[in-house]
Amino acid sequence: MEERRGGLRSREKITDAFSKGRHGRRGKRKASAVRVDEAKRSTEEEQRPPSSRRARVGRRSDQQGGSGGVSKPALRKFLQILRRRLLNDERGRKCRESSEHFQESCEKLDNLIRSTIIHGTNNSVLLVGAPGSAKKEVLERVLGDLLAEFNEEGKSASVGVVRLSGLLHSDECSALREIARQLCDTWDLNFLKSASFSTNLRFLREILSELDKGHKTVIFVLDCLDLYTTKQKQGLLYNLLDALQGSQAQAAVVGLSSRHDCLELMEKRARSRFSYRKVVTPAPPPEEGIRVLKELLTVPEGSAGDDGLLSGSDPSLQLSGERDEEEVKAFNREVAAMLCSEESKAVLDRFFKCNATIYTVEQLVLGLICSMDGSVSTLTLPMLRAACGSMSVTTLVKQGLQMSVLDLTMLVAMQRLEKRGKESYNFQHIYKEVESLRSADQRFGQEAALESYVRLVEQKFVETIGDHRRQQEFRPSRLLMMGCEIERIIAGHPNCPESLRRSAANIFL
Amino acid sequence: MVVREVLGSIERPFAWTSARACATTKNIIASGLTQLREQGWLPEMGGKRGGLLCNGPADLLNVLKASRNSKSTAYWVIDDVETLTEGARSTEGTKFLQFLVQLKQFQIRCKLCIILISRVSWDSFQQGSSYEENGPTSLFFPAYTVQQLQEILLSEREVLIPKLSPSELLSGAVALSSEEEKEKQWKRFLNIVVPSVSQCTNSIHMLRYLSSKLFGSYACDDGAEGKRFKPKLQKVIQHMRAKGISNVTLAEFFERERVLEQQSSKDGGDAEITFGCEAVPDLHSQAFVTSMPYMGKMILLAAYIAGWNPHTSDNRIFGRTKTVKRRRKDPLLMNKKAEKIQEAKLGGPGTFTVERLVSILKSLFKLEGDYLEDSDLLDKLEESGDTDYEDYLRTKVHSQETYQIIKTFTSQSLLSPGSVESASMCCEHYRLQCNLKEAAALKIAKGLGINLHDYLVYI
Repeated sequence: MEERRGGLRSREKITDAFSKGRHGRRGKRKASAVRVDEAKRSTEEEQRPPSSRRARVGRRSDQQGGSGGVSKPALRKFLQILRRRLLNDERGRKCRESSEHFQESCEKLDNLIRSTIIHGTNNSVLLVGAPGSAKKEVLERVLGDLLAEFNEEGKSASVGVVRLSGLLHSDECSALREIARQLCDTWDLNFLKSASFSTNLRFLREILSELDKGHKTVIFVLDCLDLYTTKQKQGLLYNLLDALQGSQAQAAVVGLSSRHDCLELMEKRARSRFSYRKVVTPAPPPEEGIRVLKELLTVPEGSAGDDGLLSGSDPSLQLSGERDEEEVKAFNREVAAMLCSEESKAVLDRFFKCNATIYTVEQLVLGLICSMDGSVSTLTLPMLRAACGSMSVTTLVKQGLQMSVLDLTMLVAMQRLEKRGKESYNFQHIYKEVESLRSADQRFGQEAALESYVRLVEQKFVETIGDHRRQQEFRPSRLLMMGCEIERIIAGHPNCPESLRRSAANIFL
Repeated sequence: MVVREVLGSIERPFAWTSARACATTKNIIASGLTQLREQGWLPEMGGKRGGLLCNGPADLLNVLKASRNSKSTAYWVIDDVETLTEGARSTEGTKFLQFLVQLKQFQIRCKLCIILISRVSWDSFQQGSSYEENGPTSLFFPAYTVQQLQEILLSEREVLIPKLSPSELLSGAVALSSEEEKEKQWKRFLNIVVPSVSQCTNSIHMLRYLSSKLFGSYACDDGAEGKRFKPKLQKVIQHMRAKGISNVTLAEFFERERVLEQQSSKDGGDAEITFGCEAVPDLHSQAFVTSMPYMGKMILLAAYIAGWNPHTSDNRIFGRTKTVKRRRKDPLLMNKKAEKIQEAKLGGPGTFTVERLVSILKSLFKLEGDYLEDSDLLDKLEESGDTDYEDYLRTKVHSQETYQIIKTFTSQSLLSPGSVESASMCCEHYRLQCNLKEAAALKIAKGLGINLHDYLVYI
């Protein structure tokens, strides 16, 4: 117990020293003194004969792997643990469940569905929120709790869930067949695969009324609801909601979408049968992103499988022994210190203001793990900057930085046309612009330019619109890139001619 | 290639499907599942054909659910996925790709890793819907640098050099004494070619093709350390800048070069060999124009005129009463007119009805047709007492032959269907579009002794 307290105290001391070093005047002095010492040490090091220096560096790197208190093999192991945890399906749920908004949304949805199960009031609700705002996690949590509460093992289910997705069951026929299949699976009925559309529809109405008699509830989950509502004929939605209108059913329809205009897109007959209840899951704030990042970059103390994510994993990843524990603590401390520094906070704040979804956080963590693995050291500021910077570079820009000068000229010509107010233009317009851009050493024939244009269309830098039966060179087209992306390409392109750079600069003025 | 090597090295079951070859999602699913079943990752399924019958993603999901007990991880690589987002089935293809990317969201817990290989970025697949929440983890393969290209080609000498033509090999120009010398020569050659050609293209395939084609020429001049070769290479690069870098245009270029060489050798070998596209006229287009019947050429010209001129100008050009109105030439108006013409030229040709095409053809025949020089025909017409030739022209133009040629041209894409889809081509209101290039039209007109510019007004 005493030892534990001592450990805690020493950790507090370290964090205090760190925070003072960052913020306090004394700390500043200390930090500057440390810096002077380091500089002295390095000059001494430089003055020593190279052979002895090399031997010393080699010894230290073998033991510690270039980072504070974490040895090279231990760092590798930690990174492997972090990677495994990151690629596990459960990490998203684990990370988000603790947020406030999550609990709030869960409560709202739970109340609505619970009223259907208990009081038999048919409900329809739209779960709407920005991409990455944990809509699915909210739904799964609520459904999991309700199924566990109302369904008893060994008995016929009193709550059944039918899951449909706009990606999979976009046509009515397959959707109704899927509904019939899932209902039959839940209540142990014989499913007739060859049943027609009308048979399945009749079956749906009949089983709903039968289930209603037995006070059993069906919850229809329509994922990607907007894919159903953007269709011209929305028979499935109408049939489902119409069945709910009558008193001979006890069911709820939960739609998931990230489009807020989802209900407006519904057909009139379907919209009038849908209740306007919405549960909005808000987009995670930047702080949430930073919190998840910290969580994902922290190695679980104790054994690696403590959080249940690595159960049954490689025994070489199991952490045991005091030395391992110490190294875990040292690694976590270094990562936490790095993420808490002012510079890192500024970098992360800028990054998460643009994108704070769990997906982007995961991508960032993956990038950081890769760079730590590559340089065999714990997290550093340059690594963080590089990872955040590379995530803001789109693939289009990466491709653009390697394109030929002709392709680049074509892009600049198109941007010039757009700046002049042209919404669409064909190849002839672009080539005329290329002609006005070209310098004496950059002459390209029309056929070469047409080839380049086709290449740009194929690589989706440009999109052709309108009548596809027209000749390629006269087909209207438009750019799929933003001006800033072209500007970035021009600035970073290794072979961009100076004349083109000047012309592009005139556009972006 | 990298993906194949990695998958080969980890020794796990994997399926490789080409979206370009399969064309539809159903075929892709069938191909992938068959390969996985053959490797024992998927259990044998019952069915009439004893195979896996999947009509779409929903069925695939059910099959994958059944395979959740498989112990090892399998990989499914789909190559050329960008082809799924092209054409009429683009929506279906995009949905399928989204489904594959979000497979883990369906909680089937099967150990299947999907690898999509595409030339375009993932952002290009998105269509602005909520199902595009999570993208795949993307790995960007950068293009080769000049040094990398040189290294690759250096290692492929054995494969590329045998591609030299037999005449070059027989001439002994490339026969070198030692293997080392050959290696050095190849290296020197690449040091000249790769940096120069990389101004136009970084494609390894194109560089392989070019280096195998050009090496013979370089080997002849190697004594002068490629000094005579460099101007020739410059010509190739000029050609690439003017005509593009596709295999077709380069093949034409080398074909011309070969013809020129043969001609010069016939002339006694004194004439200097010239590289260039202007030296010999375009061989393919020449053959195309000479092989076309007279009626076909006239129809093409009529279609070209109909496409570029507005229908309101027909009476002005071909009408009987030409209203010649003398107007003072206002420079401002002239400028405006020139601008309008320029804009119309940039906008491209319009569509026209078959009826209009036939009436322009008739007028063209009347003004430029060579039937008036045919004495036998004139005698026949005089005998029958028809001196107006109107009836003759009408029958000639409205003949089965005319419509047959129009159909042939449409199938050859010289003409393409316009906006009306449902109507039959025999219907006179059927709209067509002329795809003939200006250079080709001028060449045909010149061959017939017609000044095409007299008939083109554009506005």
